[in-house]
Amino acid sequence: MSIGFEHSVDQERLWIEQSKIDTKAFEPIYNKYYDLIFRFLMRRTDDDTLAADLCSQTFFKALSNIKKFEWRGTSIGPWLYQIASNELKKHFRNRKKIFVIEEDEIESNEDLKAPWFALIESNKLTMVLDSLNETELQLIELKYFEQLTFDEIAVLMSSNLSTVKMRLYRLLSKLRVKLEDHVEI
Amino acid sequence: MSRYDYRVRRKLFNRGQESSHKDFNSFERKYNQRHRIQRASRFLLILIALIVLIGIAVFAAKADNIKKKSAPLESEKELAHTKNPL
Repeated sequence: MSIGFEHSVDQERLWIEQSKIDTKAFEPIYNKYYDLIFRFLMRRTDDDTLAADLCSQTFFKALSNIKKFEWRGTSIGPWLYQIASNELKKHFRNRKKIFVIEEDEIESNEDLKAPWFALIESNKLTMVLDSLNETELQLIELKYFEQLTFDEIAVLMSSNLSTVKMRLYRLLSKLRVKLEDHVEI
Repeated sequence: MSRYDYRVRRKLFNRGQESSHKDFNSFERKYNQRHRIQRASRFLLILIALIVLIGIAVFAAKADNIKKKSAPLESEKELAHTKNPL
């Protein structure tokens, strides 16, 4: 499933420039990124209302500071992710951060069920997830949970296509080594 | 100790559906409202700061204009002393 990055980065630039003058022009940016940011926050909060509040706060800050946004030829997506991450940090300042692992895809796959439960029970998965940095976690989220294409991820992460592919393949081989006793990746 | 409180959920959200919270018009309304409040409070803050500054300036100017009595001359002192009925 794709979130529909049919609009080019140039189109986004136009929206940003117009948003600096008129708040109404922010609507396409809001509509394009809302679900992605909401799901990112939902996965880190496990709370629908809280995720909606933080998402609203993220877009509020983005619109308030849109005049300061400098166009560098890349999408506004990473900037929104950055604001959302800061909002999360602020919220979880004195509390332990949450990370939700979804298993609906695995539930439907009989071959994956047994190794999956073994992974969860042995706490191996959480140990491996702990060893990843934020960018690596985000890469896996975008590719395998949000099911974005490499092009879309490259736009979102302000990287080029080959870098994203290389990063993901390296990450997969790293995971393969760490999880080889449990699953085939 | 792990970085996160990991939680396993069967399904967190319907990925195909749009979030029920997604509503730009409501967001824009709230944004404009908050923006107005922010601008008003910033204006009030500047106004209060200005009033305080002006107050300090006026006070300082008045303090400069208060004529201090010059110290009485030796003869004046004696005069005051002799006028005393006691």
